[in-house]
Amino acid sequence: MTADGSMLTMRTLAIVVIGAAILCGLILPRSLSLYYLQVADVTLINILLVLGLNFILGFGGQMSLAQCAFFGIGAYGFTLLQAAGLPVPVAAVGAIALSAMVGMALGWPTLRLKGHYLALCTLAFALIVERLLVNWEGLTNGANGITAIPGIGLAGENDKMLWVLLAIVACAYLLQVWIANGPLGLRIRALRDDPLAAQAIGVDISRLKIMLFVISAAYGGLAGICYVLLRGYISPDVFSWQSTFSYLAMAVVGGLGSSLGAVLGAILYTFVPELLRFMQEYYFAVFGVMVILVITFFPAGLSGLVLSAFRSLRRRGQSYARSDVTHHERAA
Amino acid sequence: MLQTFVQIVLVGLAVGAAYSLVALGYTLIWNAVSLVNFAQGDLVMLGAFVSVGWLANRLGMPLWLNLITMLVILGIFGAALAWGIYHPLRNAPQLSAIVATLGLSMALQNIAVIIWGPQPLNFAGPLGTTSVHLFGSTIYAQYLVILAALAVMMAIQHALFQHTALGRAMRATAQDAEAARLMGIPTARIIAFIFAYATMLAALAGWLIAPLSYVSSDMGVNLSLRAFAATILGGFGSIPGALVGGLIFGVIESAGSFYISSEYIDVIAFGVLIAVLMFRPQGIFGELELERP
Repeated sequence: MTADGSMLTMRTLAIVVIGAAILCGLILPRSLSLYYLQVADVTLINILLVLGLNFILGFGGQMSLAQCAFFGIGAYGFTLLQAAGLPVPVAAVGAIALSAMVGMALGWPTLRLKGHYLALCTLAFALIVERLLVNWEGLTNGANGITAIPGIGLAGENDKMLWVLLAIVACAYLLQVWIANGPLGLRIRALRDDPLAAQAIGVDISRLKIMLFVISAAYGGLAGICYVLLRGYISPDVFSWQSTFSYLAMAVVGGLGSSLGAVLGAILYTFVPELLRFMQEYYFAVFGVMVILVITFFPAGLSGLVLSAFRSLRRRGQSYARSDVTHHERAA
Repeated sequence: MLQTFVQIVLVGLAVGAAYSLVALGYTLIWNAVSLVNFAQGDLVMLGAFVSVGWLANRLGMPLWLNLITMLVILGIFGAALAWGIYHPLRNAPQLSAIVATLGLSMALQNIAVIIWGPQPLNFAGPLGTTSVHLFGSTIYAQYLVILAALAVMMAIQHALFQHTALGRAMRATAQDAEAARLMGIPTARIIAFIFAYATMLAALAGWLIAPLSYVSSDMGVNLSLRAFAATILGGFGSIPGALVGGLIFGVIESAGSFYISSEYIDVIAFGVLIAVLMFRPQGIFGELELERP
């Protein structure tokens, strides 16, 4: 069980998540300036991306570094489908499907690759996608990008987009927890912890790996669509292959294999730097050092810290000793 | 026709030699402690900045002293990395260590901007823009310097590994650190030596390519990706693999950008790489066993 799910039932969690989303929707527009609202929106998009990465990397243990590519494919796919005259819902479904299909196309041939080999292959794929976005000018308008994308007419309206994004992220979050705590989630974690043993007890690990690629690509594609809706314009530099390391850093600092971690990591990476503008120049130097410190001293990430604090509070209220392992041990 | 071919191959080999130097760093560290140091490219950048930003522009050192001083500084820095980054994480899962080196990479790039500013620096190197004529083709002499430097480094490394006690200790540590420690080899110190040496190789690459491009905080990023590709292409953990992988990758890039398309060069080079991995997942010289326990 993930620590997120082991303490709360799905229904309570759903209430908590939706409540938190509504609370954010009510409070944030009142307390933040328009600029910071946009940062909040971008944070939500990053949460989506990191949730997607969490599937394949956090739960599945497959070192995929192609999240930025699916982000780009979703964004460009949606934009081009809408430009071709399709209505928004069809274009959105089409873009997610395209992203998922590309995910499958990447997952299937790389089944035999593990560890660093897979990391490089997916990174190479991300680089190839970025260069195609830059150079395939007939399709993507090259480095200039595409402007004035109609979307759903909310581009630049950061307060309204906040509600849209909160709704999408809440659903994506709950879907992830639901999958992770279900039978599929068990199989995914079996693949991560011991692929050989998982195979021996009848888990089809090849299918599972491809499925992980598909799900995480679909999340990435969805994030791409959200980005288009929010901004109304796209250019390839948003989807550069190097940005994949940012998502990786968010996932790890937040806590790998934890949905709460995806949220915390994205906030710390996207929102907090804006609040700490006075140390702008130093922030990412400090953040880099922080990544190292978190990895060294709290391998379960921030969510591990939060959850173990929560756990010890609960335990204090219970008189009997509990025998389950701590989140810290589980993640190690 | 032949001239252009010679030119393409020489330039490819020279650029590939820089990849090889970085790739060797990956390989040595990987063999010693099963860690991929993703910050290896940023050590290239750091070497170039220390050499150009401090030693050349501030202190006006002569070039040979500049090179030696820079290598000593970076060597000490590399040993510090072994103590500061690797040592605390030696028992952590592989992914944690990878991400820690990514964090290091992020920190180094931003620290470089803080110290040396966002403007790229120029470095003339020993030869400036001198060109030489070879088989009727004209190329920058600096390319030949890079090739010569790789050859010299390989000779030194061979002598070090095969004929000195330190080299034998390094090889023993790389083969089986636990057994080496039981044999009385101070493995922690040897690992620090390996980090120092790998860092010096990367820094040397930075010093060599600085005259051909600008010195900027992100100069290591592209280099590290290509060196990583070279390492994988040659077969992870194989020293000849890193060497040959780097040279091959350099030639593929140079030939691809001339004969096919310079815009799509990354697509071609990395497409070839993915294709090779599809058919030979262990790389050219790699062992079939892909994962270490």
